[in-house]
Amino acid sequence: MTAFARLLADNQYVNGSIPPTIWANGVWFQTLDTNQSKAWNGDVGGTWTSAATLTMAGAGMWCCGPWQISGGGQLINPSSSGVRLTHGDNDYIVLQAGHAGATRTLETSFSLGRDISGSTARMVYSNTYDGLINYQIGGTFVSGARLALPIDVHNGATFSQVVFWFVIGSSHLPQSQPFFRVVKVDGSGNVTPLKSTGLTQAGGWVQLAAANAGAYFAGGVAQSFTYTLDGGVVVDTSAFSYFAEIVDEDGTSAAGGNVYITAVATMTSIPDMRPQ
Amino acid sequence: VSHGDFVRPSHQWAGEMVPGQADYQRLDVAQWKSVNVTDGNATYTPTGPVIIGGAGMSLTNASSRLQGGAQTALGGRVILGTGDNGFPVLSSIRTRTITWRLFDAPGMLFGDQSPNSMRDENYALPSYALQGQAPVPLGLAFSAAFLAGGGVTQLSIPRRYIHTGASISSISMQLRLTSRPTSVPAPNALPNFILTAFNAGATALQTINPDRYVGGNMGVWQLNHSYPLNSYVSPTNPNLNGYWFKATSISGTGTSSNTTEPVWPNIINNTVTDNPGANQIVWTCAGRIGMLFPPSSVDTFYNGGQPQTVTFDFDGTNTLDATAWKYVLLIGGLQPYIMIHSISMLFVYSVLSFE
Repeated sequence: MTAFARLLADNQYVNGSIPPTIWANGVWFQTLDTNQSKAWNGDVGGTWTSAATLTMAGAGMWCCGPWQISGGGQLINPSSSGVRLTHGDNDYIVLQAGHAGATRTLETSFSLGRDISGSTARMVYSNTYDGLINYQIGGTFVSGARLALPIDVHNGATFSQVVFWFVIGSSHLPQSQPFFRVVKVDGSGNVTPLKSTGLTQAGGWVQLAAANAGAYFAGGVAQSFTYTLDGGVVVDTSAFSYFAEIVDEDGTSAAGGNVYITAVATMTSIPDMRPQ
Repeated sequence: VSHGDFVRPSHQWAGEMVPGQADYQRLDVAQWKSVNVTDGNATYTPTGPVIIGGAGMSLTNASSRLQGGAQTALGGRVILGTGDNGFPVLSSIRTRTITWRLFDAPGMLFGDQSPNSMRDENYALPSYALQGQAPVPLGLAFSAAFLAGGGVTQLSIPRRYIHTGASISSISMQLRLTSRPTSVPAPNALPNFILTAFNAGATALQTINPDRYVGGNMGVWQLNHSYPLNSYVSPTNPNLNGYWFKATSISGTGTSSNTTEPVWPNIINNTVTDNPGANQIVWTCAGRIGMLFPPSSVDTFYNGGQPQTVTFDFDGTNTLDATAWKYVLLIGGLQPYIMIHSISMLFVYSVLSFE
């Protein structure tokens, strides 16, 4: 059984007479009853488990209410059919609130960073860590080491924090421990810090604050420092580039050897799957 | 109309009334036009769209299709739910090649951290800067001063060149010799590379099967060594032929010969039996090892200064994730006359997620 058939041809319905096939037995009414029971109740809804594929061609079908694919269901775009899921209204596939893909972290290696110390560059590549190390020129520490890293971000996401991974080169406690900040830069070069509270220094700077040399060195293992941005920073790569910036240790007892390895940016509230 | 018309208004259905032939005909037509969702197996061609509003519709069968396409409109959206946190799936795998032209690679030096070596002008130079004129092939060339540090470099691959969520099938390095050398290096001194990946703190490595990096799961073939099934090996240096091998069958203890290295085949999928007998290993030539195939002569090595490709084939069991790993190339066998142009990676994927 497929689509319903006509029970009688039009020419058998004649004014003034009832076709004998309707009255002779209950078949006409039974068939009508059976068919209506199999039909779609579009007003009330329900659950149907069609025995075979139901194909809607012609002018197609519109779903103006919620359309859900559940229970392991799939919506398959047949291979090589040329058929597409077309997005109108300038929209994209949306991630439901709470979708695991709406939060992600993005790692950027400091090896892709730039030494911005000035005339005396001193941040060099560390093959051990795939990062940048403050090289001690000729065995003599040179102050003022600074580096910037263009960080990978997710356009349209809320940018919540950056975790800086680094290694302190030796056991000591410098007068000034490293400073960290995250900024956005517009097309004209204007810098906007992305953190305004809990700062050590104006301009978005937060300084590492180890209590003593042992804590500062931490046995020379990789350490992390979490830099939390202001709330509601939504990434807009059409207007801004995003940078992590570090001013290395300085002052009395400062030494070279610190390695800046990775910046891990956390992106939350990713709304949809727009191109990146 | 939003649904079928009534055959007659409800107040005309009185008790004891007898329907007329028109009633029967309308009922017949109505049932004929309705959708048989119980039996299915039918194709309907409505003259106007069937519009489902209200509480909508739920598809619970895995074979639902967009045979004629579908379009969002008027605020309608395709939303990926949290039930399985999934992303759109492709019914068959797709491949793509991403090429990183090293002209924009940052200069990085292995084994020498003197500041002067890091500065671009002393490290790896864009070829136009070396030759001072255009047009020339673009790429990285390496100064003799740099190569004095060991002829090895390390390149951190920017995240945008990695397809997160995909499996890497192969990686190739395009290079050329800019002048004719006087001799052919030993096999292990030919241009070669290894791909590896560090975590955020550089405290762990991702295993990329087969992993040739230090401590990885592909070592150099050893005499009298017991190998489990699916082990990876590379030939010893004098026998390096440009391929790696996988133990696809073992017998007994799967122990290699204690006197003789196999004669390694140099055709993919060809096999060689190591230590034939009760404890033999069958090695299958499974992929290119990421080194220039040993040339038979200087002229072959030079190749007329034309581009050459070095490829490493993976075994399809990797998933790359540049959100958690930093991918790094360790390149060896460099000489002042070698220029590297680009790195191409072939990815295989079946899910459309964020890269």
